[in-house]
Amino acid sequence: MQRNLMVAVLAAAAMAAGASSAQTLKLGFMAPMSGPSASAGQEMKRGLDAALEKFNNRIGGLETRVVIADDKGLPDAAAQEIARLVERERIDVLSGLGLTNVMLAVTDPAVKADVIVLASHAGTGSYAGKDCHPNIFLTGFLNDIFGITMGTWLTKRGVKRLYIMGLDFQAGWDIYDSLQSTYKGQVVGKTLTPFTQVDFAAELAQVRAAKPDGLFAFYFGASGVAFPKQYAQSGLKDQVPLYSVMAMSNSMLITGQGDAGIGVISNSVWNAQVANASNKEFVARFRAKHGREPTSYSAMMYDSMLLLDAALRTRVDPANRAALRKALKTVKFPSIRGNVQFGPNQVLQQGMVFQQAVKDSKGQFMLKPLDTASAPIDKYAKDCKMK
Amino acid sequence: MSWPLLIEQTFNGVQFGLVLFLLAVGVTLVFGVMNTVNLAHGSLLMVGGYLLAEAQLRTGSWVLAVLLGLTGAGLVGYLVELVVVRRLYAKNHLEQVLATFGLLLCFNEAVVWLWGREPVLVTLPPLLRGHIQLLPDVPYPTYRLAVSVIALCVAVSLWFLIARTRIGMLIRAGAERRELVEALGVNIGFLYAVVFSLGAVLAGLAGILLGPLLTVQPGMGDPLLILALAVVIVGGAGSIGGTFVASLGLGIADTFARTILPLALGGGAGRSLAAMAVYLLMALTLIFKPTGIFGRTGGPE
Repeated sequence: MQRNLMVAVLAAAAMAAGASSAQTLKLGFMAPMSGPSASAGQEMKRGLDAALEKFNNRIGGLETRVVIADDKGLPDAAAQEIARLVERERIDVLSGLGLTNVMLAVTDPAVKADVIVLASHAGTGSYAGKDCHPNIFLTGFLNDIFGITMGTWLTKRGVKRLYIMGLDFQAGWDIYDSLQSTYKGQVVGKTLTPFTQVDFAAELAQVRAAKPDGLFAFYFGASGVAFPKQYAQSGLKDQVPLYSVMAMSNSMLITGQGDAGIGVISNSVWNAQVANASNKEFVARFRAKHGREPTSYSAMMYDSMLLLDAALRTRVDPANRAALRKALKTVKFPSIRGNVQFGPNQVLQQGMVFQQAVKDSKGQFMLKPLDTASAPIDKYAKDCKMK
Repeated sequence: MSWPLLIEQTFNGVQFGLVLFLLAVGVTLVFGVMNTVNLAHGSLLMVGGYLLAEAQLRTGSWVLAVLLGLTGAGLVGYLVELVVVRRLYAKNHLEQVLATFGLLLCFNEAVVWLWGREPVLVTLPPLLRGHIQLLPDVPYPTYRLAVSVIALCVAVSLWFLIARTRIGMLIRAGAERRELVEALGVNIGFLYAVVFSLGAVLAGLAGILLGPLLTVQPGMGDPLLILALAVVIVGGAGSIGGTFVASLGLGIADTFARTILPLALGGGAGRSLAAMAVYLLMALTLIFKPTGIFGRTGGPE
């Protein structure tokens, strides 16, 4: 009797273990949770948490075990963490990835271990082109779509003389170069500044001297607060409109920018006002918890999880990578961005929103949509030789 | 470069230099008088910025917020001296660097814990918003002008304190011949505490003045501390006059390098050289006058 009971218990335990291993999703999340880019990483985590809350901790209906990895914004820290995620935690899917240099460090080891990579924020062109891989999905955006659409839009808006300012690094260069490739007016000046610089008095004096009728600036983090403040104090705000991208105008930076951040026009791959059920639910859920609009960091992360959920719900076992890849690529998911789909290089093709930072009727910050632009041509796709 | 731009950039350079002076003077005093390297000095600037933001939020008064910020920074400085730095005077420079770097990390994490990672808002009093016309063609932000005026007043007061008062005499004596001051029966522990707290108040003031210009966030003082160290080296460690001249010199040099070099040498090379300008000047000083332009020749180390 005793013996029979034991056998029964063991059998039940084995069944449960077998069942759970087949029904568990091991989801890696890597983002800069500490260090200089931590505010972006923490915000991405808020997007992940909102998705887990929505799905009751069961993405795709599967028991989901999330493994958090802090890349600190440093490629070497990221390389250590990816080894842990792949070898010890044996993750099925790697999500997050806030920074380009981190993505470059972790993608290769992840793909070698046949992990699926959903990059929700890093936007390197190489993975859309020559380094594309069936396991890599760019669910966020490519850096140059901001520049391409901004250049066209500023031309259309009648900005004749443009001054360009921004941070001196890869993602910035992608944006400035692509902007200059589609902008038809005259670029009267271009000043790039290092990350360590947070005082722009000398540069703003040059902007004034150049007498442009539009200023495009790309700053985020510390300089994303300092720059608009100094631009407003210099008196330029009354003379030259400021154009930027979503990284410089959002509900996180506005707390530091104050009124100096109001009026900035930026472009974005997503806006809280995009009218679809999925987005409404996300914005309401996020607002209830954090008391402000989400930002693109949390939104893109959340959207990646909607994609993963939809793919897994086609009754795919996450251990079967070929099936999961196929499902991710073809599934129709209720994106908060509306109608989006993967191109042949597994980059999400999407339109852009032009938006202005304003105060709503209650005096609260919001990004008011002004205009939209259709998805620009993905110049990298032709270099992608994916089977 | 046109005349209006030249004038505006000179003002920018002077303003930058004066704020740098407020930060560097504490570093140079602590080094000169106590022979101690303090890498956590930038944290005191951050404390000033955060206390200003918090006090503004709670009291809504600018004057009160500034007073609370200054007092708070001085108090934090005093406590830091009492609890940590006091134990470092007898140690060598490497140990001081390690210990104060650890202190810097503690400060940054404490700020994250108290205020979070997102930058906090510091507003300007209405009087100082916007800009004024310096000359017909030279508009200048009112606040930056105010920063220059305040920093200059503080520099003059500091000169008076150091050159004309008894405590100033002791500080000067301490910077020149520490052992002798001690031998003459001056309470050296008290003198050290005063010097460190004074440095903390000035760093706090720099943080308060920079709060509305820059971003009040964890680690905000650290990049500036690197520049302040360059100022101390160029000016000569322990010399307040040297620090003043070096601050203004490097502030102006940095501003003009950023303006002229990218134009003269073209984008990439000009930008790289501009970012290095301050450190090149520092290297040149170290080669030709290792004790700094106003440095003593027979002082400690």
